[in-house]
Amino acid sequence: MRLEERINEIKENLSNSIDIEQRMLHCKGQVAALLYLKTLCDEQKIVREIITPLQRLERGSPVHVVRSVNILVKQDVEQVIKQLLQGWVLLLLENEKNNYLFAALKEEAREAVEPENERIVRGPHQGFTENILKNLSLIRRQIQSKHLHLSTFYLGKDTHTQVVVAYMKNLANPILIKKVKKRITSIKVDQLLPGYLEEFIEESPASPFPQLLNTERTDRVIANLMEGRVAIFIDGDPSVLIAPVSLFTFYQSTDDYHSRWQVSSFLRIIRLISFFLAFQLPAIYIAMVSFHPEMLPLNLTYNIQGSLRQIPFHPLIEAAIMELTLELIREAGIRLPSRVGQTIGIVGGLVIGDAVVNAGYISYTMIIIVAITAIASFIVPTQEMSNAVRLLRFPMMFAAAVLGLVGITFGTMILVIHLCRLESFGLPYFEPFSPLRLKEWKDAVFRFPVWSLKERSNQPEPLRKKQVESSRRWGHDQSE
Amino acid sequence: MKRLKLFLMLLVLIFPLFLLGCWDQDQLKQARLVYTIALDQASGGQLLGSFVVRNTTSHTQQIETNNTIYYAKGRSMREMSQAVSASLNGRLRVFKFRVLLLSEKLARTQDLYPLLDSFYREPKSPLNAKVGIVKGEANEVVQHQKIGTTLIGEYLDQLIEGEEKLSVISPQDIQSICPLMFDPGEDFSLPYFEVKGNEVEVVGAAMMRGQRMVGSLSRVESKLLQMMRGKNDGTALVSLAIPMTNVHSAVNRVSFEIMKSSPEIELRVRRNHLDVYYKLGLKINVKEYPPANLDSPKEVSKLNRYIEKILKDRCKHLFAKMQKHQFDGLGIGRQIIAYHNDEWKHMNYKEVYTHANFYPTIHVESKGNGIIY
Repeated sequence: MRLEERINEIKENLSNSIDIEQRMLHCKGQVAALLYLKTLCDEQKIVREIITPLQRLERGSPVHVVRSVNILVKQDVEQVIKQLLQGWVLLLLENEKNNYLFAALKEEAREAVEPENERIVRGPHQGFTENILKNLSLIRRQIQSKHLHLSTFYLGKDTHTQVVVAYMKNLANPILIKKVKKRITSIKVDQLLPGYLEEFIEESPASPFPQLLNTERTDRVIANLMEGRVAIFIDGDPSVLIAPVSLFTFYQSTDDYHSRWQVSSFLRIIRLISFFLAFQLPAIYIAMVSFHPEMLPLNLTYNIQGSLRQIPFHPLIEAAIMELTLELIREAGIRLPSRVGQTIGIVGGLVIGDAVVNAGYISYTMIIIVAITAIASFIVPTQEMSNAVRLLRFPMMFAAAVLGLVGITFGTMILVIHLCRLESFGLPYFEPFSPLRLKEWKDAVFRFPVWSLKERSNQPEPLRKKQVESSRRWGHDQSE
Repeated sequence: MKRLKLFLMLLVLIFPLFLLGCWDQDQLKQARLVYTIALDQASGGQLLGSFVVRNTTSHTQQIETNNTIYYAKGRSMREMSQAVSASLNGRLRVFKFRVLLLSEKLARTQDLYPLLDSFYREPKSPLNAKVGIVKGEANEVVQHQKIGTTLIGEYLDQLIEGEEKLSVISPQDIQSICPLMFDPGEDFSLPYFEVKGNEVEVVGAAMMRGQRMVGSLSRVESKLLQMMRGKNDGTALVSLAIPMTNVHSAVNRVSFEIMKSSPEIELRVRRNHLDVYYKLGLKINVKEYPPANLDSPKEVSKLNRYIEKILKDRCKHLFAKMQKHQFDGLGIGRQIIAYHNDEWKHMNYKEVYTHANFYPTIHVESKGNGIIY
């Protein structure tokens, strides 16, 4: 086949797109052609590392002179196309059948800045970017271990998105790894957008609870890798999926490990209380004022009654209006630029909050309840869980309005049963409550000092349990 | 077809869920809460109930409360509350009920339990509500509406609570008097109110024998009874006159707080004869003692002996009074039931009690005298 025809064949295969660049040059005394996608490749790099050395080449193989790190020699056109689409440069020589491929991908990565939605006070302020290579390098740099294993998959028949599964080979359970890989490889889809993956591989799609932890924080991913969990990186998405998780993983913030353990334990308990508040409080209030007012303390009864007198709605309707208004304000505020967002906050919080009471539509007590509920749901360190909990309170409110405290009991029972049954990659989601592992409350419910956390959590069933050797022996050393 | 059937079946299962609760609901918004009920005797064997309903109205940010009194006649509590409901804009609810007042006349002539029956029967009723007896008409008390700036029901509630804390009256509520009403071996006392001008005072305690009032105790006597029962830990303050060396002063009282009173009752029961050996150990804390000479142990023990003597006399008097009314405030009958059951079975207890001999011994120990001697 002549050079011309070969070039055309490649172009044909790439749908004659306008960003295909073709550069003719002389090499080893014959005509050669470079083909690459302008939109993907770094042209300076091509000039410096590929064109210049090739022009000087008198004899021998181009493989020996091109300064590119990655070089492939392929015969198959299909494979050549695949590489071109990943930012490689193709060299065709008139008299040679071989297709030479050199990597020249343009590096486009933003700074690893702290993610907006997972800010912390102390600790590293570093987050992932949209560039998978950069993300992996962030991890690799901080876990300098021969055991860190990365394996890659390309998903999406058309998008061909790179997915990297990372885990510690000496910690992560092989059964778990097998499961993760099996689920990833069985995805058959045209387009794998970042964010799709979670829905493809989670166990119970009907559950309101997220079954993979979604994070943009490098330190969080590293901590989880070191617990024997698996991290899944997706190209183009700064958020990394972590599996398997338990409910309490969502309530741990990396902040906890950077402040004193008493403070962190206190905050952990506050968060767990807020977990209940966030979906129970409006329900309890509804149950109290419409079924069991005798359970309220004496003076509170009169207070609440006073504020309820003029309200035209049933407490459920009252709560639903206020909760929905709050969701509206929240949703409206998210997508607006921050300056307009503030206005929304003022309009929503102050104007609506005040006017709605003065107009006598909603009672003050309800405003307080809704506000506490909202704050309690925002305390959750992870966005996904925060949303899940916020959603849960609506059925709970309904149950309370239908059956009072009995309804709340039913609702809570169903919820707890669901949590006990839920699994994340075959591992218990409600651990360490079910199965009950009191030892692990040290790090799940409270946060004990790091040196006392001698063993890793058994939730991901790691290969090696010990994580801290006795590190404070100097305390017993008298010769000091 | 099959799917439609399943869908309909699900609907049938779900709809009842929405229907539940209608009958079960007890909206706070619609509840008209009774705070106090005063019961008097009306003509023709009827009762006159004064229901104090507390209203709360909110003017945007401020919550105002005021009382409305509804009067109703009837032969029972339920009959009266029905009569009240007829003129009430909402549901009459008693779950935040605090104080039940009975006129003395009613308490002396009618059994207490039938009046309280509806409270025991209703699951939502407040069993920690107080019961009090009023000298004269009970509705006179609630007609005061406000005492100072406090609404009457709240005032009574706080008054009783305060007096209980000072061990002036025994802490009793609807729940705690229930077994005592039917206990042949122990009687109870209830706070005894009197209207004095614009104020309502606790003037002492009403002695309840079984379900009826039989007499009253003064504040001092009631406090003494609490002490004799060993039920006044901490806050009971007793003042006694002392013979003073300094005759120029009009203040000649010793006041002391009873820190701990530990009574022991020993009984000797022979057929229809009862001897009560009553031993009381008191630990006191002197709060006021103008002679101020407690630095010498001799003076301390002199004071102790003096207090013992006076208290012994008072105990004897009180016991005699209780005997006269056949009011067993110390629960001696309970002890006979427990330790001398055979005798109990063949005994007309009230009769025996009236003629029982009472031998008190009191031992006082000063445990403190403040920061001066």
